[in-house]
Amino acid sequence: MKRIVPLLFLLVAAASLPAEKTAWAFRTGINLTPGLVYNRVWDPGYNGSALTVMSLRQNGGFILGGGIEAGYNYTGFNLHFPLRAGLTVAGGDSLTLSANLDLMPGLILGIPASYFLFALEASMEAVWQVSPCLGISLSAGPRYTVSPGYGEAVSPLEFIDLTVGLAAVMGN
Amino acid sequence: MGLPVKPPRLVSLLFSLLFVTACSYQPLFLPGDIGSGVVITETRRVMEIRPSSGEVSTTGLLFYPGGLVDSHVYNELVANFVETARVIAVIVKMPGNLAVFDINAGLSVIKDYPEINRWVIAGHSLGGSMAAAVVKDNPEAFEGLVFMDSYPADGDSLKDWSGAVLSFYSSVEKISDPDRMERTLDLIPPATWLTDTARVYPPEKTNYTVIHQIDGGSHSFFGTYGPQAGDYEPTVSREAFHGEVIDYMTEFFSENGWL
Repeated sequence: MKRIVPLLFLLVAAASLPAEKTAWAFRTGINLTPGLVYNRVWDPGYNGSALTVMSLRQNGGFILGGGIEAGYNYTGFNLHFPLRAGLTVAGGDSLTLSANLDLMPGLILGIPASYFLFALEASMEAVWQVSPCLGISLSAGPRYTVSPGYGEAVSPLEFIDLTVGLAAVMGN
Repeated sequence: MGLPVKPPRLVSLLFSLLFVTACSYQPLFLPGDIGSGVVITETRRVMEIRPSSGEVSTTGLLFYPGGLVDSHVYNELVANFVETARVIAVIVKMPGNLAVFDINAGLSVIKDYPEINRWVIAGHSLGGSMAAAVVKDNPEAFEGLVFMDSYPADGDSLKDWSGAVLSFYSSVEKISDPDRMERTLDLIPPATWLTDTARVYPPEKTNYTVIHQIDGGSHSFFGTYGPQAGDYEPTVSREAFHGEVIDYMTEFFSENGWL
């Protein structure tokens, strides 16, 4: 626990590094994870949902971000601390399209032990600018999640999910 | 005007709150500790436990876990019951480990087992209350119900349900609230108490409840986890507790002609 709080601040701070010609944004929304594969057994189904808050920094076409995601699935409740790197692949006045890669260390919240969780997500995100300071984001992409500790102590845990996200993006 | 607490303390408080309210109890055994007499098959939605060899009853046990308890904690108890009673059991995994998020999860599971012609549903704590809600809405889908330190919610009366109910209490403290007990008895079929010296079932195996209170157990003993916050100090071993639960459950199944 004591290691996680500084890590969270580190990730958020990474997204706030000063850079020239930058824009910042605050992204908050929900992620839904209809699953494709579970535990190497073909077993499609809905796997859970999460609330996400991210601080994003854009410099030219590059995006850097960090934040927190709190969600649940069939292991219970868990936290992720996503660190995002992205690239704007198409942009207009009202619609931008970006490709993002999220590294997501995290925790399965448990008693007596919380287990380290790691996810990697590649996603495409479209942001529709509804006002100068507010955009609506729709994203989708595959996410791989693994927890070696939970796998060893409880049950093998390895997901591949299709994450679908809906979020509000506030900023300039 | 500033914040009543400083930001670092606020962050700590929020994290503490999250940990207290969202942590699930994890099992106290390793997957390899389960004996070889059963085969456990796990999917995204369920854990199926069946005897590893020999004849199997056509009665199935559907199990709803307690709230904020990892569903794997029941593997030990259920596996031992499966080995003794030779039934197929299916433990349903719940979203966020809260059965209230997907009360009817078990109904879709039943459809995957056409070879089973009779289902008994069991639940621990919150899982038992949700199991009662499923039975109330689908009385024909189940012939039996097993409560483990649990009872129906006030709106889910099973008083007139034609099935059979077995209700466990883990300790004398769990039945020490007369008001709660009176309300519970009003929500379930007519009840009689089973003790070690008087294990007498009603002659008619329909619309009845048998209640058994285990001496010296604790709430978390129905699984293999804990101790749970607010639980009572057990004076018996978990193994002895599990043995008593399995003994009474097997007898309940047998008395009803389900084995």
